[in-house]
Amino acid sequence: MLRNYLAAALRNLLRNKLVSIINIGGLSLGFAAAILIGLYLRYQLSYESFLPGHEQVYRLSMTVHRPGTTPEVHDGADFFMADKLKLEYPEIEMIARITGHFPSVRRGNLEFHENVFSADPDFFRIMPFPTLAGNLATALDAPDGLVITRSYAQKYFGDENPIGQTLEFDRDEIFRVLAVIEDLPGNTHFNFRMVASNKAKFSALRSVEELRNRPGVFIPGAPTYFRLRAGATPAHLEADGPNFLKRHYWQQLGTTAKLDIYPLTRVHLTPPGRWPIPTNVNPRTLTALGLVGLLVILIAAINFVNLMTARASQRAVEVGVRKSAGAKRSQLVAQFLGEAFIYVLAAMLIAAALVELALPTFNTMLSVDDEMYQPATVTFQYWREPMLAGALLLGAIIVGLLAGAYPAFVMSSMRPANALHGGFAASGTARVRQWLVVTQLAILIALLVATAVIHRQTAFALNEGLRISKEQVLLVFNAKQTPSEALKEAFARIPGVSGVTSAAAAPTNYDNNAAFFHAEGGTPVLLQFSAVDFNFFEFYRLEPIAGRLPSRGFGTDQFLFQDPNHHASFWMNEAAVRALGMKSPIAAIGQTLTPDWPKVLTRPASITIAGVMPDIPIDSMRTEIQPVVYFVAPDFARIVSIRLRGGQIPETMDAIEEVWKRLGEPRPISRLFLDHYYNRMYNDILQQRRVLGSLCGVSVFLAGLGLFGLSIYTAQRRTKEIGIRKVMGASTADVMRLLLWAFSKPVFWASLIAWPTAAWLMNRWLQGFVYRVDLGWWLLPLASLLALAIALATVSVHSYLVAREKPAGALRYQ
Amino acid sequence: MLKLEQIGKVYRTTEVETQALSAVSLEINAGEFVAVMGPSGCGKSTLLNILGLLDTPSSGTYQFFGENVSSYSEAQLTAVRRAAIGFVFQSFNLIDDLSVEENVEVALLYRGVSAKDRRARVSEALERVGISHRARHLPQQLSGGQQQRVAVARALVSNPKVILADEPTGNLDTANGNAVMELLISVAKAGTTVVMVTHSLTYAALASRTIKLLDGKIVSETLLAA
Repeated sequence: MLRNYLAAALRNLLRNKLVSIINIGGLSLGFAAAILIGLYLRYQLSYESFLPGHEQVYRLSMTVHRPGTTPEVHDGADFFMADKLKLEYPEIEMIARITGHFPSVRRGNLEFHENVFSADPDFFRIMPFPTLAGNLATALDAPDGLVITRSYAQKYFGDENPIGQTLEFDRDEIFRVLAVIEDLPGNTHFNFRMVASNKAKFSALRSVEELRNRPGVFIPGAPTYFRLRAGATPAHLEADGPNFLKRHYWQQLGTTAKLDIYPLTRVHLTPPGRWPIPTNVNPRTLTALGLVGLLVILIAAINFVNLMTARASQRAVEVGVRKSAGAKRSQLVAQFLGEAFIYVLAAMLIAAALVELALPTFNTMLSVDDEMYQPATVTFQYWREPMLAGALLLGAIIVGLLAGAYPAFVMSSMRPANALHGGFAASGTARVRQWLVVTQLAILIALLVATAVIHRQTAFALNEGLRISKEQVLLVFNAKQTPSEALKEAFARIPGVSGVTSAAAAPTNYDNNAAFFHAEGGTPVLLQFSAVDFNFFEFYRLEPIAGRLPSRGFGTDQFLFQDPNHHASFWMNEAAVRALGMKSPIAAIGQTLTPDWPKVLTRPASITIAGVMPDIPIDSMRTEIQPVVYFVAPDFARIVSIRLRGGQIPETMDAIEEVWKRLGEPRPISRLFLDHYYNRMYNDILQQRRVLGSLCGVSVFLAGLGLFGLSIYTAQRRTKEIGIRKVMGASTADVMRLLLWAFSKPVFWASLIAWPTAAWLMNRWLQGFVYRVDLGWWLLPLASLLALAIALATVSVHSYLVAREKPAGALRYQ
Repeated sequence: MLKLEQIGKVYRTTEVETQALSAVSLEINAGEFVAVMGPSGCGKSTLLNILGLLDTPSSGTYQFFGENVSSYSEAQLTAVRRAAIGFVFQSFNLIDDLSVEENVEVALLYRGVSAKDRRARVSEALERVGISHRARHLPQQLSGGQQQRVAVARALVSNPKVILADEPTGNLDTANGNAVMELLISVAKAGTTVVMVTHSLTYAALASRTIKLLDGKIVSETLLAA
């Protein structure tokens, strides 16, 4: 019995090679895309799972929401919070902080700037990373303890055993390597290569100690992790959070703050804070991707259903014969379902091969283009993971059942008399097929719109929205010393350099410093600080909205710290004007600000507003621009910005390095292109754009494939009609118009479905950005036009060949 | 025995109603070889479809070897067809994707016959119609006459009580047509009831009785001169 069915199925497949290839090929492509998305989702949900005991580990951070401003989401807690929590909450077994720095690291002739972290001793006891050598649990107990990864051991020590050996940091401090851990995988939000103890001189954990026990201090800059005792949950801590903050931080924060406690495995999915981690992902993105994956399978499955049903007329005789020989309907259904399964299983096997081929490129697409972050390591090892193999099989069965059911029922429903005497009209199925094509095209149009909107928003975020001119700007970081005027002038003299300035932070970041000020008669407002050089605004091509730019001609322009007789000029952004309750930027000029600082800090004699600058988006398009106050203090402006002229960049870079060696700090130059910095910040949307763009491409291809296959059948079915029309005098062009119109109508209906859906979805997505482009309503008809062009392009070649045939050939077929 | 009483068949679309058969009454005894003739559109194929349980009448009753099958469901008709009826068609209706022996085997697949028995009976049927040497060929590789012989083998292999042949020689030349008719005659002589629709007076004369249809009604019956 089975042999008979198989023989019919396989020979039918071979007889219609082109359509079979289209059918199976399309389905494999759809499966492959969906498998890749599924693997990615699994990967995202598997973060940190390689750490033993990760279920009991949580990360602590805070959100501060002062009235009248937007919430500040911090990635860490106050530096002194960890100790207080450990004392008051016995369910916390261990707690540790970790901070990141950029010292220079030297061994012999090797010296580099490295992203080095320092952590409290419990850090590796809370999270026992896979260890290759040494004792990880106790490595950070020693004040000079250092933990490094395998590849860094290789980098600095080659094949030697690094345990017990030393490295010099900032040409000042010696650390001993006390443990070596395996290189971190891609599915972790950590990205350290070296972790030193919290006693390192370069460590913030050490330098804040002098502020411990000072009243009124609140420094939310320490990512903090804790492990709960076995069986405990964070429920009590979460519920008691407000009370804890009331007890210890009321003076600084009032009721404006709350504790955020995230399970370790979900840290990478948390909303972006002040310093967004490039590898973080918005959970909404994951949902969206999952949805898109399903849609791609839907398109492929629709193709499959359409092509199988279109074949029904070919199999009419067989159905009639089998029925007249006594086959029950259920037996025919089983036969054709079985055939569908053969196709689907074949497609799944090919898909598995495609996925294996595509995986390296896929991982590259998902990785941050930055050596500071581990590349993505999505794996596909179904031979080792029975669950994965099972899932693939289950997927094939489900798709086979769903997609195969309709054609099977259609074919088995044929009445033997109709089937045997002149073929199967299949009028009902033509309707269903039309609607399936409409659905496919609707999905395609919606995907085109989504991709276009994401592209526009990303381009806006990376360019226009920044409002500063960031082309060819190189940031050079100083750790300890302020860059001297001599250094800056030397940079400026390099032929390939067109401008140099400096600031305390990267141009669209502000330092981690803020303080309270009030305007005359106003309430105290927290304003962020940013120390800049005289020409900072000019360098970034920012024009004042009111007032003037800083200038050496005004004595008050340079801010002198700790001088109670100094009259200072400050600049602020528009957001600060609003926050302080001033009527307008123009009204702000000449007004004085009174600082509400702790008594330990010396206040200047007066602070006057000299200029109001345009708002520039800080950190991310996602967070609202904070009110910022700028003051000119070149002594604190440690980050140098250098604008390069186009062309001969390598020579210019060499020259910059040479100047640094002469006049800069005694350590290798640490530099970063500003573009790179922004790409990191928006890595998640860039990734979304890449992935969605690829998926769109796959969908376009699949839809085109399906339409092509359908056009073959449509033409076959209408051969007699075409022959008659030609006999009646229709030209090739007339016939082509007829065939092409049949494929244009679905685009119209598809647009009616896709436009409102896509518009609503993309509007919602855009709401996630405070600064965003508009939807661009013109994108909707454009996407439809594109879909139409794709539809017509795919079917026109075949339609032309059919339309061209001689009428006798068409009629003789009968 | 096949007994039709006042059988009527109407085909309805949304706009048109066609009376294919009108008050047809007919009795065919077991073992008879009956020819049905008439111009195009007279209802011959409809009559055959009803006789062969491929279609149900709009009115009247049909007794198939004592069973009243006129109001049987599709499932019930299938069961009866499976047990008792074989078909031969003008356009052969072989399955292009199956070989000669696989095509003949289809007639046994749904009758619960074991694989071993199926192979034996198929072999025998092919031998009987003289086409065993082409058992592994596909239909596209055979001539018209050879394809029809395969169709006859398929009709015979299940040892049906009735064979219904709808213009079995319509697409064949004289020599091949004669060969097929010889097969049908030998089948009838062996005791199977054969009902054949034909345009050919020559071939109709080989049957024991000829029924003439016109506009859905029986207009005459002629018995073969003994």
